Amino acid sequence: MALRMYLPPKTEEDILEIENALDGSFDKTEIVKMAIHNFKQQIYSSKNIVIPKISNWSIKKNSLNDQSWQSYFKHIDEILDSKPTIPAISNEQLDDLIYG
Amino acid sequence: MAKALVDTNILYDFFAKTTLNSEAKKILESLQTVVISQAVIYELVTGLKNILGSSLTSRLIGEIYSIDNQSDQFKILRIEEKDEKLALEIMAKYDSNNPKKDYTMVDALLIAQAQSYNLQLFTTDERMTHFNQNLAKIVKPY
Repeated sequence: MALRMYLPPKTEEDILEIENALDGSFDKTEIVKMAIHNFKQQIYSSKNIVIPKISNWSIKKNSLNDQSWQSYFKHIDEILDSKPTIPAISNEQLDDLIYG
Repeated sequence: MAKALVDTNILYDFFAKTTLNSEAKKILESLQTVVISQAVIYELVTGLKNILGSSLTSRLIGEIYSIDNQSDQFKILRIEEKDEKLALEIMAKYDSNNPKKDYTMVDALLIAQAQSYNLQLFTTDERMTHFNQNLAKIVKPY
């Protein structure tokens, strides 16, 4: 429940919860507070991280009729258009990319 | 295989279209349902945003949420309080044996969720296998 608030929100209620938590009015058990603290330390230690606002999320009804993976792959390729393939990175590099 | 928890690294290879994209596709294709932790969604957003930019990343993640509501291909796993508690217990035990702490809170959460929901965890991160294998079945596909 608690960490959910630092993850991409789905509803306006989620946004309100995030705001309340950031205002310090969040009341949960000690262990959950510790989880939040640990998680925040990692998340906010990166200068690159900005929590996306709900208005920026393009959540809408999916137009896929054929729900096979092949159809989904094609759909994602269309979204990515002609984006070139990029070199794969190690897990350590991925951590750096995410957590800075 | 019916369904499994899939780590950020595999989804990153797929959505960021890395040179391991086809390997990532094979993993997704082998599963009827790809279960994605909310914690992984957060990591994926941040990782992809740095590569693809905010707009494209929002669209891709929006597609996951959209499909989560309509089919079995993607299911987003909410983080419950019991998952957090278990993750903290795992971290506490792991820390006493591993002062390097070469993991993130999200790694511990994934192990906890894999155990709680009896799911295999697909990851390319060798470090995940350092956790006690009795906690969760970890598969390193490539």
